[in-house]
Amino acid sequence: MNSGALAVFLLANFVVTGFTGYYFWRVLVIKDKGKLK
Amino acid sequence: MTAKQEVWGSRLGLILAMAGNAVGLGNFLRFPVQAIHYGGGAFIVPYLICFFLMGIPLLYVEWAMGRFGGKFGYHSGPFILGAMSKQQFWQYIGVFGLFCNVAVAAYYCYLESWTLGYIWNFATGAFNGQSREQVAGYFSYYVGLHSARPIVFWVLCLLLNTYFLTQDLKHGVERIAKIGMPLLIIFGIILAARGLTLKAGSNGALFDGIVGLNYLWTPDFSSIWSAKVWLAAAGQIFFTLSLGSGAIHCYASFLGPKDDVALNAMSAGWMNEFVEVCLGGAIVIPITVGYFGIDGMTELVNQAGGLGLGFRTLPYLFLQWGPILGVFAGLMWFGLLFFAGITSSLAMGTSCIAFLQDEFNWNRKPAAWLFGGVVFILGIPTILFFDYGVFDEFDYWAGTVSLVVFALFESVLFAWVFGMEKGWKEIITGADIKVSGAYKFIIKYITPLILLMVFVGSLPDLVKMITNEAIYDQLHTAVDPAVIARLHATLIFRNAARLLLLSVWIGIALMVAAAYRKRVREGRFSPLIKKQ
Repeated sequence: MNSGALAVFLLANFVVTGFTGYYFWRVLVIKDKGKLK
Repeated sequence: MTAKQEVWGSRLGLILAMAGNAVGLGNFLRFPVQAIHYGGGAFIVPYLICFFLMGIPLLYVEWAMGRFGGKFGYHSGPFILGAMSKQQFWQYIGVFGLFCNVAVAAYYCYLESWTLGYIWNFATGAFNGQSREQVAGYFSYYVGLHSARPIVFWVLCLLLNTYFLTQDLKHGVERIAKIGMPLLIIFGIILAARGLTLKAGSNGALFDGIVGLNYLWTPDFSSIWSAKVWLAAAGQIFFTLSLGSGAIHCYASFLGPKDDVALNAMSAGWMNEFVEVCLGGAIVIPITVGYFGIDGMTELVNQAGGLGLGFRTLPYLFLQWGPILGVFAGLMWFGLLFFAGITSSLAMGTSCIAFLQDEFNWNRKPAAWLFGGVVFILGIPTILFFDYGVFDEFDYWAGTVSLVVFALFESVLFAWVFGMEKGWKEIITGADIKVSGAYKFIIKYITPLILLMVFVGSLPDLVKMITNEAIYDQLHTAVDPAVIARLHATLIFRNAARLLLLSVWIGIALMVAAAYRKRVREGRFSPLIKKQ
């Protein structure tokens, strides 16, 4: 892969996977007593 | 069980159902093609900016509106919107929230049923030993209704949808989402890994899969100065998140008044982005380029778009991987498309059923069967006259224009009529994450502006569509009497489809008016609706 394509591909995948993982981690570890579990 | 008594079984189930509603066939078939057309890797820049400035704000708005309506026992677009203003006008804007679901389900279930037809073909080995032309030609044979199979699978698909809709939220939609979404992601990861590790010379491939990935992601940064690219990015974000359809409102309306909407909205929204960008971008294009090269893939995309690649080309390419791996790849590909489809069509059904439950005291089962019946009747013309553009008319008016109109109005309602202060309070109440204060400004000014630009930007196409410009252009140059006769028939069918859709919208509006009068008679008002 050329460096431009590789950089954009890695950055886009990092951002999207990072945010997805972060929010799911928050959902799975959060303790919200009295709310929807 | 009435809609009021229904609840989500778990938070994860709700998020997966919401993500399933958003994840559709477009994540795998539309996104990569849009990226190729509009700047390759550079497309991700306007795409992500539109996600932050329009996608996320609208997710917050729709989730918050849904939960707000749910407090008063409203679970469908017309009355959720109606609860936010004293003016009855908004109820009729909310009609789009039912209309989109009914009309889109009418053609979407047919599309969904194709995946079942292809799963059957792979499972029975019907494609084994066929040439590329034979496999590609099967698609035309299939949609051309040269056998009863498309109808059988369509009816089966409708029955499956209706059956799951007869179950309550927890045992129907939520259960399917909990099974379907993880499977979809697993299948997607396996196929993406296979696409990226495809090697030239193995299994008949001419190029490495990475060549396709390189082509897809090579950025043409000059493209991001084009308004067309920004419109395409905004449109993609809009449709991939299933915004403006009323389905998100409906699902969120089953939350408790103190349940979080902010973190849930982010989890579901970003999950959709993961499926689209990380998986959707790594399957169709790398595999197709691996066998046909960049020029061959571009030609195929120009001829038949993403749908053509997914149904005409990939099945043949999978078979090059050997009889066992090829069959498994085909089953996984059409399996993931099926799960992407059914989790979306169930969302369409849920809001319509909730409307009947809330407003006319219907039980879930008969309401689900009525929905299935209406979708069946409305779906018939999209199937029988598919080649005359009826399917496309449904997709354009119900699946494109209506969504933008609904979202534009709802963003104005939320920020300007309901009021941004009250709206913001709805978003942050019960929030399990801190929502950036910048979104207060973005929701009030930026998002409606982007939506207005998307709408204005689509007006030239709208005018061309209304005036049937493309068909008249063909008529002016056509000389073959058979072609001319076919074009005239296409005009008739397309105009008839529009009248049918208009009738559906008016029919729903009349039902909303009747439901409102019923509420007035029974004294069931939201706090914001004036007493008559």
